[in-house]
Amino acid sequence: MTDTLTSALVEMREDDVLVAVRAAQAAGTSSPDIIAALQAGMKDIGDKYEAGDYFLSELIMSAEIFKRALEELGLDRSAADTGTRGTVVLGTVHTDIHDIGKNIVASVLSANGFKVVDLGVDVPAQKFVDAARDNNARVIGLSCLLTTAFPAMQETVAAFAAAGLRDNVTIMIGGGPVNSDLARQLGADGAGTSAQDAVILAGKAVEGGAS
Amino acid sequence: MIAPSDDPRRERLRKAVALETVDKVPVCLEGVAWSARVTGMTLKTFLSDPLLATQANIEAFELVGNADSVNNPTFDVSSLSFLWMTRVKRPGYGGLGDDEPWQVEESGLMTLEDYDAIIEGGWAPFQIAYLNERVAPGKFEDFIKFVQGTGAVVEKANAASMPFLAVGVLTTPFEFLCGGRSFSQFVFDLYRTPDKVEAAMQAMMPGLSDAGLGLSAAVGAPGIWIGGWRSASKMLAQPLWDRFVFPYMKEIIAQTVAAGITPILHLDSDWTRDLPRLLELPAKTCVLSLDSMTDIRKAKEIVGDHMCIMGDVPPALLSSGTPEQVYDYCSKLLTDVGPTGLILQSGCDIPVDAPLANVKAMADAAADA
Repeated sequence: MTDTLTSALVEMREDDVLVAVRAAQAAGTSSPDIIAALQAGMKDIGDKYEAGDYFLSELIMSAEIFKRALEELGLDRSAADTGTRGTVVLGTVHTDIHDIGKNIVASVLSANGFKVVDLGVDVPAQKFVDAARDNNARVIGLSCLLTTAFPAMQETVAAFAAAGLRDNVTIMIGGGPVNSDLARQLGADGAGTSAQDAVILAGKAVEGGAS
Repeated sequence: MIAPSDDPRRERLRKAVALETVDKVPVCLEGVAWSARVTGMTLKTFLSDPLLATQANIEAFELVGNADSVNNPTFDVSSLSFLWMTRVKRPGYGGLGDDEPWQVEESGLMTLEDYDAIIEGGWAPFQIAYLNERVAPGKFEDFIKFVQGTGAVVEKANAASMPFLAVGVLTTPFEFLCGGRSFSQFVFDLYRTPDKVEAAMQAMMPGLSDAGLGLSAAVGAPGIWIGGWRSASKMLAQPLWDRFVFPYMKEIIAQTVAAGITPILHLDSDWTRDLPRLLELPAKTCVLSLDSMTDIRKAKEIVGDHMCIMGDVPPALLSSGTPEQVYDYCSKLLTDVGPTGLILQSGCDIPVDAPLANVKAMADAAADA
């Protein structure tokens, strides 16, 4: 039964996913097992994205279906992102208010088993540091769309060093104008231009390789 | 279309589009905000009058010295609200400093019910009411006022002998609706209510591009942008792109060519997957403008004998690299993608904080090649 659930999610059949969740519940399947089936689907979707068979629309839609499936179970997203894969502190850095990409990354990370602490937009450097410390986060995601926000990214990386936390966290940067050269230049640990890149980078950070 | 000209810069552009041999790869500056910053004008001032924006473009063009054209001779953020159906924070207002870049506030002002309103009443009445009632009072009139100044802008650019490629932007129904709904919500709509979205798109098409094409023809602009941002291949599953993007883009391009205007396909993000589909467009007529996310060498391989390619010096390189790094990138690009059928340009806009030396390095690379 959970195979049906997984395949329905992978094929973006939203109504079928919800029906399968209800059926699994009625058959006595536990919520953790249902969530595991959904997360297996998310993993498959991520693999298809990496292979070039799926695209951003599938990542977004599957995360939405995942969320609705949790609601069907009477749970919210925190049931799935209880830190099973670790905590990611995420935000758009100071001086930049663009949030579309950051929001998509939050949804997809969450649906892939990460606890996400979303700090919003125009986030000062110290707020990232405080949130990382408060939530014992090992992964930090800095987002921007504007090249003029690069200094704020660099300041945020420096703030972690000043707080003595730099070696405790992996800092990934994301957004339209970023790349790995820039990550090195800013002192970050990696860069991504898609939500799946974030899943992979965060996975490597917390699990030492596998996404 | 770009007419034959005694001006060697315009002639280079014409030959690049026609895939003819050029004496030098033409360089185009797409530096709206950058032109303000590099000439010492605040962005608030830049946006206060289309002619001031043109003045900044002219001065920046002269500072670079050996570029062949600018992409657009002026700019106003009201055009972003018009295209993306959303609010845009202006420098000097709403908490932004006078010289901070404008920022798009995508807040999903369009509702699911709006598709019915578009289907029943057509696009233009809906868009006018939407801009004025949901984006900001008078927003549509702001945009019209900007557009009405185009004649004076063109006159000023011509008087300064600054070639330009376009004064207007067209786009597909997808981009208007996606901006209004916000990206994620629009993706949900495409999966959940595809027939309704499609009906709205079809209702939008009649007359959608008439004003932009008419304006371009009236002022003698050689080209017009046809923008693609969120409709990029990387953003969408193949069946969604095939159904909701390309048919409309192809139709708008056909209308543009029929009007005698060069389609400048301003395609941000990654369109690599669907490059072969661009072979369905008229040959030696379009310009494919890439922002560095699409594989430009793959583009050369697939459509290089079919259309001119423009781009794609990465914004991060122009902003944070050295002049030597920019020069090296451009030199390699000129070898790999040029010299025929290439216009060297930044990938999308030159970032506002790009040093002048980096932009000059881009132009110098073409001059030295």
